Amino acid sequence: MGIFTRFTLRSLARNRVRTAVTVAGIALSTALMTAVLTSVGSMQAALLERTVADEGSWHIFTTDVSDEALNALEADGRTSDIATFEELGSARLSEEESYTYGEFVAVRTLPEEAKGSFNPDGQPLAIMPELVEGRMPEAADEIVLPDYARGAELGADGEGGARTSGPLAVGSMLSLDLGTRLYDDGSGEPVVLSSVDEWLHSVEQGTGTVNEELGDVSERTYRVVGFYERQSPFTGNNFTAAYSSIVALTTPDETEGALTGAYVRTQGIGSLEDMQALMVEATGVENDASTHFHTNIFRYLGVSDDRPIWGTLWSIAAVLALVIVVASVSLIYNAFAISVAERTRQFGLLASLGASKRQLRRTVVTEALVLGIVGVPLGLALGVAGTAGAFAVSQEAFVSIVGSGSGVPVQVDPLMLAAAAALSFATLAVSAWVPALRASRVSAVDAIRQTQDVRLSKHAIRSSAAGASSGNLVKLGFAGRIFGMPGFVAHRNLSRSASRGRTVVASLAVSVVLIVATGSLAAAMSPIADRAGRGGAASEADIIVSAHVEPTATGMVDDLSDHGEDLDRFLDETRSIEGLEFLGSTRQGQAEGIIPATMITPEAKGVRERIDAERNADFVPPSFGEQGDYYGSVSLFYLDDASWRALVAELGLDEIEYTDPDNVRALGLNTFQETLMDGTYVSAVPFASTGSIDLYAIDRPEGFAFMGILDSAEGPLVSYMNVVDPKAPAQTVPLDDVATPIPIEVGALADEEPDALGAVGASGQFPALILPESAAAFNGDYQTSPFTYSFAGFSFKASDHAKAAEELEKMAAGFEGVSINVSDLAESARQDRLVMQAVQLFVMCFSIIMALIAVANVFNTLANSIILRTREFAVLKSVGMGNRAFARMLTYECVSYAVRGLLIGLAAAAAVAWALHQATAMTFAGTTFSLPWSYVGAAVGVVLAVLALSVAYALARARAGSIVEALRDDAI
Amino acid sequence: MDILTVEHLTKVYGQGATALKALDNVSLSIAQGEFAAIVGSSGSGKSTLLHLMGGVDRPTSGTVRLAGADVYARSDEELAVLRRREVGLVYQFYNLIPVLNVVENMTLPVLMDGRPVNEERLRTLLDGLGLRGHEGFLPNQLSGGQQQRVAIGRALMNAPAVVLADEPTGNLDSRNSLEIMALLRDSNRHFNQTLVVITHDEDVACAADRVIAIEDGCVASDERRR
Repeated sequence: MGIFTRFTLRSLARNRVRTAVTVAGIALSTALMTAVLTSVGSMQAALLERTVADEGSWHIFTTDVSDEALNALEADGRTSDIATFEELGSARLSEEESYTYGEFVAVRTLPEEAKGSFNPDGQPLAIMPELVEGRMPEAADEIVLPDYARGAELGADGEGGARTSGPLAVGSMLSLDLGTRLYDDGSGEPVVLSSVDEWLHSVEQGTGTVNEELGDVSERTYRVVGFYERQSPFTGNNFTAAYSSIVALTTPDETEGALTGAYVRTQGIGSLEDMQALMVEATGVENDASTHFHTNIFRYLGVSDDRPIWGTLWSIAAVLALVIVVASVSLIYNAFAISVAERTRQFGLLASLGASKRQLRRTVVTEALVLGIVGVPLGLALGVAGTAGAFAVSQEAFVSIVGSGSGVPVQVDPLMLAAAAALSFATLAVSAWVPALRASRVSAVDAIRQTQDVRLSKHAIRSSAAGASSGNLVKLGFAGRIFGMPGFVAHRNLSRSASRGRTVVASLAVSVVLIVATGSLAAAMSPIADRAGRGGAASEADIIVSAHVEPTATGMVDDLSDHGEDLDRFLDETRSIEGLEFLGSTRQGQAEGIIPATMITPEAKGVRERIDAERNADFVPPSFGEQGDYYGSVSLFYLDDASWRALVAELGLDEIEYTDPDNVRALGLNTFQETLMDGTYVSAVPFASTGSIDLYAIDRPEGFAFMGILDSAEGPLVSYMNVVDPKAPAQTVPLDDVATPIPIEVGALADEEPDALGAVGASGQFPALILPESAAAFNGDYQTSPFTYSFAGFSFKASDHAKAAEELEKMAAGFEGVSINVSDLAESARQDRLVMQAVQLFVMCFSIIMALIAVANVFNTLANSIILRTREFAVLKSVGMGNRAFARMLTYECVSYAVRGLLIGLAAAAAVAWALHQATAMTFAGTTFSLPWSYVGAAVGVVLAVLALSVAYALARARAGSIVEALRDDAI
Repeated sequence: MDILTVEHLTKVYGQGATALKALDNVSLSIAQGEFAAIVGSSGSGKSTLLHLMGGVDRPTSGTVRLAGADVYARSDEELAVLRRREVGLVYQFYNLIPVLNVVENMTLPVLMDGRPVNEERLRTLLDGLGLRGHEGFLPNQLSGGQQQRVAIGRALMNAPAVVLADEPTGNLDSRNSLEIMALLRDSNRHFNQTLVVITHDEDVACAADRVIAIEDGCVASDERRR
């Protein structure tokens, strides 16, 4: 062991607290890094496994590939495994049969490996059918059929191309007139269809010009050897066809099929684009409709496919990683900076004794290495253990997120561990490098001159040179006058020393950023928890009963409000069920209305317009008028009396005012979440203010369909469509001619969806008002009153949910004209609750570790910066500064650090929060940006508490040492 | 009149086998206006004695009376007040506060006491110490000799009962040493300032009224010159 290594180890041992804190910091950041990587890796592996188990491990699936293209694919080094199957032909069923079994029976061979393996790494390229009866085909004249074909008697009417002798069962024979499905697209060359295409017969149906035919029809007879379980069709499923047509599976033989399909697994391709290029090269066809890419698994394989959720997960991970690295660098850098500063004289002395710059640098690097060798493995172990613990606790939640029965095992990927370790060592290297350089620059003279330990600010040097030669020689300044001597000295310290406090301020700022960033993460995750919460997890309901009106014989639909008495009677009857507690009821209706622009937030307007653009047909009038007023339907939610009163009380409103039957007041539902068709999750705060809204009951003349209300230069109009002649242009009538406005006061806004509304999922509606049930007191049909409803939801809590649900169902059967459905939420609610808990657990773990890093950081820097000044403090004491004055001086300095640290930290935190918000905005559009104020508060609290703690610790240490000791000239 | 009395002063560092007796039952007294030099080899205990006289350390046993009061009967807080009012300390390595300028460093004990600065005395000291024109300078903009003058100014600012100097010239060249000693002598003569100086320097010792030699924690000799 060299002298420098020994020197390093000694100094580490001498500063036990700092060494421990630094090792803890390194271990924590490594642990966090490991946990993030391991969690993401494990989740990804589990999702991949699940998806592969459900859909096969193929990357490219083609239903029609030429022999040349197939040869090219097999020869290509970018493909690893290929399996092929043949479409042997289809037999058309008769019209009568097609109602039950679909248009045709297709015969397909089971996939067979053409290159590599069908089962690479134990993950089959395509999923195989699960038999419910019999066995898999072993010869070319044996088939298995879907289970719904069991018992079918085909060809009995003499029509159609499939014939059975008696009901289909294992052992029965099936004769098929198999032909190639073809149609003429006018190019002269017939187009061959595969069994995933639907049957084209628009000429027959009188709706188009295309009719397909079967070419090269020949009869084949198969023996049925088994039935497989029917599955919902998805891309790449080898045993479903378009609609519910029957797919018979057989084994391949020498017979050439009409079409060859293939499953391809690739290797070393990183993007969807490159995969498409591979297929274009092989087939020569661009955008081939028969080629499908397994984008569902690409996201887990790391193949980029430009999907928003993928980008979001990674941008969140990237921001988190950045935050962790910044936090770690700040912590570790500070530790080294202090350790070097403390030993400035030692380094100078070593330099004067002939140590080279390289040797000095190496002592610091050795120190980093020693700390890393202890801290990093500790962190890796901690991270893996922590992840395993968190996963074990929330295993059930993961099962419901991933949807797999086996759960999510923690996948300890050596690559991930290596990455975490490498990242940590890189962090360490970056953190130690600057202090190492500084150590190597210390000159022997610096060490001998003692006053060099403070670098003066430029301002201090300038003003000192000007000198104070006349007049009042001592200027105490503001701080001095207010805080006396201690304030004066502290102020001089703060204003004249360039570096003093900078590290402290920086570490305080970083801590604030860490904690606030964690809060932003929690906010970013909350939509996920919210979504889980919407399923009923947020409320305590076990059972939800919904009611709507059954269509009458004439096809006309009454309002449910016409059956209000029935509902009341039903609710009355439910009281007899033991252990069933009524939680609340919501009746949902819709009215046309106009909402002034001033009451609607711009974000809500934007979101609504986005949804309109996506969903509405041209003939639906726009939702917003020229001035930004809202024209359209307003959802109305009527709460039962108890729930209404509870809500009014919760919002702190006057109960008498809000329960006056003569003057009904509404509450605006001020939350809105929706998922767009592309999977983007949007949310918005709908109402900008309270105010009055006009609702209308609009005439519905016979023969016309009401399309909506709209703005025009002449005032609001109603648009009708002619039902008899749908091609005729929409007709508009002034609104006043066909309706009377009924103003309703929106007296207050509910920022959160009341529990009682959970039964109907109200937050997916915009705009939505909440009213007391009494407002729906019926006085006419929907043509004369806007206050009707068409749907009702009741929530219950049950001691025995299964039994209660059964009894409710029995009761629900006895109502004519009203359909009452009972759904037992207990199980799904429990799962949703678990998902919510898992998200919360994750955020909590992250918060705690981040807070610990922040605390370690502040403690390290502050305590050490005070300990570093031991000598200076001793001087102050020796000239007569008392303990109290001393404490006051430090307090003053710390307040200054705290203020600066908090200000800089909050500014930086706002930036980080904004970045996180932007990262999630891709998937969760419309979420408004706001700082997580509770975390900001926590950050301020933690910073101040640690500040106090560190000062107390440092003071105790500074006080413990005697003045004499500190003042000794040879104290190095 | 004795301004400083030391009785049976003993100081032991450490415990058990490694215990070191730095001072062993030392008794002496310094008269008002006296200029005493303490000499002795390294480790003889002279610095310990000085620190105990100045109230910056606590003795294992024995008493120190300064201006009639028992120094170590006081609380830490009272001791701090005593240090800033009655003691002026000068060290070999100046020990100035790096962020305070010349005037601020010099007036630190007064300010610490919350009293107004006696501007006249400050000016007299600045003139006498040759620091005029350097009032706003910070310690690291000054030479070693100048820094030591600031330290002496700080010690004298409050007109303390006693100025205790620990090798004040130990870090200076001979010209600066002579000047610093001249300054200390002048303060002794003009203000009747009581002065206790630890020194290795024969010339310094010769200038003193009295030379106390310390050996192995005991007073080996105590000579009054005049």
